[in-house]
Amino acid sequence: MLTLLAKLFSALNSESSIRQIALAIVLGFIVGLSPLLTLHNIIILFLVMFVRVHLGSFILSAGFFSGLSYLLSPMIVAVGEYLLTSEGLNGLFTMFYQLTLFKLAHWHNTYTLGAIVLGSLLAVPLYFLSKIIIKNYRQHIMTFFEKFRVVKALKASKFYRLYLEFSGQGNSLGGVL
Amino acid sequence: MSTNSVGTAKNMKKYIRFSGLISFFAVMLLVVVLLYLFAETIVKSTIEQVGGTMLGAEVNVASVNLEYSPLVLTINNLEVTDAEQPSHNLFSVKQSKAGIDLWQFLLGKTIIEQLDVVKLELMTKRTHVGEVYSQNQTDEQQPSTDESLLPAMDLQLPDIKSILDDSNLLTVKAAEQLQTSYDEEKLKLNALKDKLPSKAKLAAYKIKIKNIGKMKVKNLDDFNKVKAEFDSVKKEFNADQAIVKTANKQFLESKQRLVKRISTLKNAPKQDWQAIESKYQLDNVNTEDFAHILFGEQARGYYQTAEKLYQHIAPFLNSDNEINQDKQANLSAKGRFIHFDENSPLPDFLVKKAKLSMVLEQGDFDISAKELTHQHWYRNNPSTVHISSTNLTNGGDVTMDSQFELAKNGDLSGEGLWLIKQLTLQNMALTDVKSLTLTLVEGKLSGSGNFTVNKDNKDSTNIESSNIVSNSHFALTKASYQGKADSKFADVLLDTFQSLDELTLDVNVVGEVEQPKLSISSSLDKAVKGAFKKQIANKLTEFKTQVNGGLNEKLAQSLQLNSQKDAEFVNFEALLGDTDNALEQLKNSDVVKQQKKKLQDKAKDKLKDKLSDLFG
Repeated sequence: MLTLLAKLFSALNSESSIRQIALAIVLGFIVGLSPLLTLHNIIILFLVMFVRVHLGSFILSAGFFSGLSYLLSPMIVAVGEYLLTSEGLNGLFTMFYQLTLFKLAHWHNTYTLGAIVLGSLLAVPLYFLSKIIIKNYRQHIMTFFEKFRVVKALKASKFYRLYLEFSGQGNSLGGVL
Repeated sequence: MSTNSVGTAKNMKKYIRFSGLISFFAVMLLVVVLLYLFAETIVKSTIEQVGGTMLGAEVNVASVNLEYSPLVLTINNLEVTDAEQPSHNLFSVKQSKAGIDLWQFLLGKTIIEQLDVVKLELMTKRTHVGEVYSQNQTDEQQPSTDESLLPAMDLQLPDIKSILDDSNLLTVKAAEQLQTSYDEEKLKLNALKDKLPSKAKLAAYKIKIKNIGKMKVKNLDDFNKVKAEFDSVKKEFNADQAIVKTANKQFLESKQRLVKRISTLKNAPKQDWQAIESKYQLDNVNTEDFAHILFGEQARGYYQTAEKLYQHIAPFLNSDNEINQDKQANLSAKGRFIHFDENSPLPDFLVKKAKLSMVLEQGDFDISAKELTHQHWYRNNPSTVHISSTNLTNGGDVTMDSQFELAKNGDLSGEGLWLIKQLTLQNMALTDVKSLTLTLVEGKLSGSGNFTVNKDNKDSTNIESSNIVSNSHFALTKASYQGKADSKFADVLLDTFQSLDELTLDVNVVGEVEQPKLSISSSLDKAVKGAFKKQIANKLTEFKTQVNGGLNEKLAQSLQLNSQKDAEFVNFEALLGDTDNALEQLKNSDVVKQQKKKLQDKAKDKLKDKLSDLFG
C-alpha cells in the first residue's frame, strides 16, 4: 500500500503528464464502479496496460471507487433499472439483446449497465476536475506543504525513501511505470 | 527508413506501451489462475449468502467441486436451516451435481442440463442451531378447535348446581321483577281503595234515596224540591263513580303489567335453557364428524407441510411479476438481469432433467423431473415430476405424477395423481387428547388421489390466490389399534376402531391454496354414529331434564309465592265491580218518576172529582 501511495505521489510530483494521471483516475473510476469481472473492465484494463496512463493512479483510483461503489450501489442499480425497463428504450435494448456481445458484457444487468452509464457520464467532469486538482497540487499545494516541519520529518521516513526510489531521484528502481 | 516513420514510431511510443500487452496478458492469466484456485470457495460462499438471504435462515455447504469441461458443479452436504425450527433443517442434501451450460451462464442464464441430487432429507436435526435472519409471520400456528372438541364433549358439561345458582338466570331475574311489580301495584291500588265509597256510604245513599221517595208531593213546588234533592245526591254519585272509574283504569294497567311479568317468568326457563345450550355449545355437537375430529389435525398438518414448501418456492415463481419485493430488495443492491425478446429464447433458470433420491422416515423415494423452471412459456413445456418409492421400510409402494405450468401473467396451473399400495403403517399416533390416546399399531394403507391447481380469476396478479381442488381416498386394512380411554365416549370410539375390518378415509381439499377448506369423511363415522349419538343424546337429555327441572322449580316457587297477592287483586276487582254497580243502580233510581207519577195521579183524581161534580 505504501508503495502504491508512493507511486501516486511520485506521479503527482514528477513530470508525468497531467492528462495521463487524470485519465488513469477516470478509468479507475469506471472500473471501480462496475462489478470486477466484466467485459468492459477487461477492455479498460487492456487500455490501461497498452496506452500510457499512470498505472499506480489507476490501481488506487479503482480501489478507492470500488469501495465507494458500495455506497453508490442503490443509485447505480436504479439507473440500470430505469434504463432497462424504460418502455421508450425497449426497442433499442431488444435490438442490442440480439447481439451476443451485449449479453456477454452483461449490459442487460441493471448493476452493470447502471455502472457503465453512470461511470461514463461522470468520467468527463472527473477527468477535468482531476486535471485541475493535479495542476494546482503541483503549483501551490506541494510548495505550501513542503514548508511544514512535519513534511520535513516525513522526508526522513521509509515512505519518503520509497517515494524517492519511484521518482527516480533515489536508487535505480524508478522507470518502467 | 525515413525520418517521418521514425518520428511516428516515437510518437506512438509516447502514447503506447507495447510492454503493457505482456503485463495485460500476465494479469489476465493471474486472474484466471486466481479464479481457478478460489472459484470453489467463491461459489460456496455465494450459495451460503444468497441462499441465506432468500430463505431467511442459515445455509451451510461443506464443500463445492467444479469441473470445467463440461462445467459441472458439485455441492456436498448442503444444509438449509428451517427458519421456524432452527434446530432442524428445512432440507438437507448429501450431494447435488449440476451440469451447467457455461455459455448461457456467461450470458446471464442458468441452464442445467442434468441435475442429480443424492439423499435429500426433510427436517433432519442440525449439529448446531442455525441462525435465523427473518421469520415468516404468516406461518403462525392457529389454535385448533378440533383438538379440544373431543374432551369437551365428555368432560366439560357444566355443573348443574352452579348453573341453577347463577343469579344471572332469566328465571331468577323475572321472579324478582314479578315480586317487585306486585308490591308496587299493590301500593297504588291500596291508595285508590281508600278513596272508594265505603259500604256505609253506599247504605247512606240508599237511605237518602228512600227518604226522597217518601217526601210528600202535593203540588209542583213539592215535586221541584224532590227533583232538586235527587240531583244533589246524583252529583255525589257521579263524583264517586269517577273515583271508581280511575281505580278501574289503574287496576287494568296493573293487571296488564303483572300479566306481562308472569308471562316473562313463564318463558324464562325456556330462554335460560337456550342460553345454556348456546354458551356450552350443546346445540352444535355434531356427532357425525368424527373422522374430522380424529384425522383433521393430521391431514391439516400434512397439508401445511406441503403448503409451506409451496410458499418457499412461490417467491421464485413470481420473479417476473415483481411480487415478493421484500426478499428481492435484499438482492437488489447487486442488480438483476432483464431479458428481452429474442429469436430462440430460454428461461432465466431451467433444469432440463433432474433426478433426486429422497430419504424419509417411511423409506427411500426416487424423484425424476423435467423442465423445472418458472418461465414455462418460453419452451411451452410444463414441468413434470414423478415420485416413486424404491425401498419402503415396511413394504408397499407409493407413486405420484404431477405437472405444473406457470403462465407469463403469473397464472399457476397444475395437476397430479398419486397412488399408494399396501403401505405398512406402524406405531402411528392417531390422536393424543386428554380423554383418548389412540395408536395404530399396524395396518396396510392403500389409496389414490388427485389434485388440480388453478388461478383464481378474482385476482389475476396475485399467485397466492391460486385455488386447489384435491380428492383423496384412503383405505386401511389389517389394522390393529391400541389406546386408552378416559370416558364413555372415548370407550365407544376405541371399541369401534377395534371392531373395524376396514377403515376408509376420504379427504377433500377445496379453496385457496393458503386457506383451503378441508372436509373428511370416513366409514368410522357410520360405525361410531349410532353408539356415540345415543351416548351423547342420553347424556344431553339427562342434563337438560335436570336443568329444566331446576328452572321450573324456581318458576313454581315464584308463582306460588305470589298466588296470595293474586287473590287480593281478584277481590279488589270484585269490589270495584260491586261499588260501580251499586252507584249505577242508585243513580238510575226512578224515585223522581214515582213522585211525578204520584203528583200526576193526584191531579187526575182531582180533575175527575170536579168533572163528576159538574156533570153529576
